[in-house]
Amino acid sequence: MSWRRYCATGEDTNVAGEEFALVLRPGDVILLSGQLGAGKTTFAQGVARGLGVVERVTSPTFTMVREHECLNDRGISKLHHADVYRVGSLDEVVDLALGELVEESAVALVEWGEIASSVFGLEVMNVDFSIDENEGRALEVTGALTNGRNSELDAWTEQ
Amino acid sequence: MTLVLGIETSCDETAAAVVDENFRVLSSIVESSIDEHRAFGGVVPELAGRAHVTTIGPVVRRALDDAGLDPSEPAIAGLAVTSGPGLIGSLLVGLSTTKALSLAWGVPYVGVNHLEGHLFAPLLESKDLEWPLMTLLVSGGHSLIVRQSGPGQHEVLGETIDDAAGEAYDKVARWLGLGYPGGPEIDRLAKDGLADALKLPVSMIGDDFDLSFSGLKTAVVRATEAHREISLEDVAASFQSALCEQLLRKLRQSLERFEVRGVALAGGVAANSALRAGVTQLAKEFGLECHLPTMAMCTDNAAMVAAAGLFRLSSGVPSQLNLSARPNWQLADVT
Repeated sequence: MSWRRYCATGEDTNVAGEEFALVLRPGDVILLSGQLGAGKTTFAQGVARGLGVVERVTSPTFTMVREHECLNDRGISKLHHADVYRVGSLDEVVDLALGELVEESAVALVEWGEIASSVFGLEVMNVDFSIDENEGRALEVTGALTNGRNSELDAWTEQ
Repeated sequence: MTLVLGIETSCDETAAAVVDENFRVLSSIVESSIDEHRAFGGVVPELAGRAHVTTIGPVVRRALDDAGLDPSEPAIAGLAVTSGPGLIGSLLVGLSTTKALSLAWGVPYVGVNHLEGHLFAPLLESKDLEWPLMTLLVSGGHSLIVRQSGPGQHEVLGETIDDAAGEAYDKVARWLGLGYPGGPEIDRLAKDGLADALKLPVSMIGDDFDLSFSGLKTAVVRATEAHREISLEDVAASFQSALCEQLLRKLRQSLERFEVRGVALAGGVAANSALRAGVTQLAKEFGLECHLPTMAMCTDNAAMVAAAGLFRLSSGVPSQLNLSARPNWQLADVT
């Protein structure tokens, strides 16, 4: 199964992220993939807003992981925003221990996650970003973690 | 004489320096592991952490030797170490080493914010600094416009809402197949290119002082895909021009809004020739003292950390042994 959503502008991508927050549950690991400038950070900023993150969410490339407190009524208290763009080997992604970071009440968004998908196993959701000739972004959601969330994902797609 | 030993390991430089109470640098040693990272197109955190472990000891010893101090029992008043922001593994090497030395030598230590360290750099190089100062701090991990009313007194007017300026350089360089770090390479190529070869956006979000480089990065990717025939020199010149234009416009706005006595440039991107020329011109136009760092002061170094530590140790309480590294420590949260 896969779910698609088209975003004509950066603002659309941001809103798609904000609404994607409604799909998320505590403990989720979401891998964001797509080329440079495809909108991964913009999407992540939207997700953060949807989860009730108050502080500014900037690119996590430099420190690899940024942790944000969330304020929502859905049991998600923390957002780990990671970026594995700079890692040299899979061992380093293992060292980041994102799976352990997530615990029960947090979710993790991992930019360039496709580089390290083997580390995260199958229990993830993938959001793939591609750019079309009109500068729009096509988002596609797949992965084992989508199981049992058809209604939330259908709602997300139908916006 | 009050001496402070500074230690810096927040990213890929392992550094130690001794500074006296008049901000005179007695010694400053910087070892970079950048060659090890070049093959990967960026700093590899695990490599950086491991490199710090092997170099920190010799680097500290050389800093003490150069300052004429006895490495077994140096006559220093205290230690200062970068405790954030930075890579967690790298920060921990410097912090643990500092705690151990503080215990062994029986002197206090203080954890310093790396960005505040950069703000102290002008004090080390300009003796008759006049406040207030408007500082543009641009590096691989940060981009801020800061108004300083005195040492340790700073107000963040604006900062990047997405990528840092140096990060944009690195990502564009990697996209173009250039080496790491991207700044020097793009700066060099830009000298032989046309700045208007590509139409790139100069992001000016709102009328505040925040910065944004993500859109510019995306625009470069899209433009180079659409114009495959364009030369690397032209891409570099167009990108650099658009990036500097945004920084300079925002800096200009800040100078129009706030009265200051000088303008300072800090951080790794301060080594950029176009930015240095632009800031010099701007300072001249506003009739302000211009503080450009030497190349050695642009890169991460421990002298600036020692300077910030000197100030913090003399004006506050030292850090406790249970101090943790803070990978995302914001300058605005420094009190």
